[in-house]
Amino acid sequence: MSQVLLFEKVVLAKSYRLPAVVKKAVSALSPQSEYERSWLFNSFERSLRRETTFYYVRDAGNNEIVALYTLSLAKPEQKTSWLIIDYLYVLPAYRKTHFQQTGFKLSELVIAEIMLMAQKISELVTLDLLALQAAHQKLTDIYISMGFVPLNRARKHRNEIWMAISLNNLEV
Amino acid sequence: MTNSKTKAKSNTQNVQSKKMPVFSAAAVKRAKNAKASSRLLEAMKFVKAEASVA
Repeated sequence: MSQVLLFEKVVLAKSYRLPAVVKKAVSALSPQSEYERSWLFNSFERSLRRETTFYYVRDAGNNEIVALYTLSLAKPEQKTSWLIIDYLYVLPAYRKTHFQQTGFKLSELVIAEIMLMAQKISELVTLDLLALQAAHQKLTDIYISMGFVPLNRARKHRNEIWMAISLNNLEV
Repeated sequence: MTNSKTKAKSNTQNVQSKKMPVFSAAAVKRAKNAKASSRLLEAMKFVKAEASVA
């Protein structure tokens, strides 16, 4: 099978400092709720501040953006090094169904790519866990099916649903 | 002089690390034992194979 997805690290141009440019980029991604819209704005802003690294996922067939994700590293503490998926967004047209003839959902392929990236990084520096915040309770089942486990906070804190998976002993 | 120093600094600037929330020790231990499902491993194999044909 020829390549179906392109994973592209993006350094946002200075023009993204203009609210109108970000607004246009966010609209083009067709957010389905105010929650998604605000996360997308936040992702662009944090990437501009260099607090997170921004990636587009493109359909290799037509070069259209089908998803995006942002990654960051957490300060190591308590003997644990974390890679964080700050936000993973799949365009509405590519949700719920398998991506083309791959037999996998797009979100599964994106997580798989991130796991492979993390595997490469962990060959150079210690990296223990890949973590993310599930946007809502329904998504936790999807992540649990991939192997993620919910992380309980030491103290109750808002409604965040953090989940993580080990990056050690991956044999692919 | 000042300009070149400033430029060098911006060129080497990295993505800032963020602070993770504090999770219970048991939760972190459980996560460290959480393995990728066989389906996710299959997806990883697919993406890896796909990249090799690019």
